[in-house]
Amino acid sequence: MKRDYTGSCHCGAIRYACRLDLSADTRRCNCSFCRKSRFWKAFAMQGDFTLLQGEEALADYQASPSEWPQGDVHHHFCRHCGVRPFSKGYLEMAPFNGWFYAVNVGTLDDASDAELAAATIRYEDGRADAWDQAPAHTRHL
Amino acid sequence: MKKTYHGSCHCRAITYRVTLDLAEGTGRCNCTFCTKTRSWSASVAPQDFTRLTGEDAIGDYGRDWGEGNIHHVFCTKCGTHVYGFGHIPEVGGDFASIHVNTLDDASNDELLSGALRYSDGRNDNWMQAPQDVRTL
Repeated sequence: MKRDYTGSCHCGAIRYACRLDLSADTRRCNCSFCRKSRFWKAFAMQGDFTLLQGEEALADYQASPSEWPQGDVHHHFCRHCGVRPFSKGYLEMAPFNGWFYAVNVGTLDDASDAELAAATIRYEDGRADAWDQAPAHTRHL
Repeated sequence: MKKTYHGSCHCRAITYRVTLDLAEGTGRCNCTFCTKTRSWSASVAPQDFTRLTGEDAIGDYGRDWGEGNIHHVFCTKCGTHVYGFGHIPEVGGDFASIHVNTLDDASNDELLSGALRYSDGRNDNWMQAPQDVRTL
């Protein structure tokens, strides 16, 4: 069931609110970006995410080269502490239907260890461009 | 056995060379910083770590945290946390550590060849594992 969470970077410059169902779907991926970031994400659709503070602290990264059209992905991080609270992307396909957020669940401030440990984790083979399949190795993710 | 590896941030502005034995183990911790970065690190002797490039991309989230002086270094262009260094008397003075997930030429088997050491940093109990390590 979806519930409300708040999250932040480490220094507290960036704060956000979102609605997520951690028990239904979180993801880890082996693509170069997720591996270097140890990103553990949950998707929040546009109506379920609010930036509460820190617009001026949001640095924005897009890899080069990237499969995303310019402007359609924003890998945000805090310019002060370097923590990635979320990325923002645009996809027209369902279930995204426009702008969506990939929340780094490690930055949620009010999710308990037990709640995160009970989360369903779907592994994605992003390195092989097969996001709908699990990679052979997941222990390092 | 010690081996020399190379690592980088995602955009490769910051690159480094490091010599360490991954079979000696790696660390994960539940302190506030490690939780938010999902840190997976390995300690290295300061003289075994050399940053090769990235002077103009260095972000330093550093201060005196109480236990000592710690600098968390990240890339200001892509946001990847790459390594840390500082001085903590309790662990013998000067130290360096790397985020092992930024190594470019270490295999998954090498990364997992050593014990995973868990630290209960959240309770300021760094030498003990926390009760719940499932999220780390």
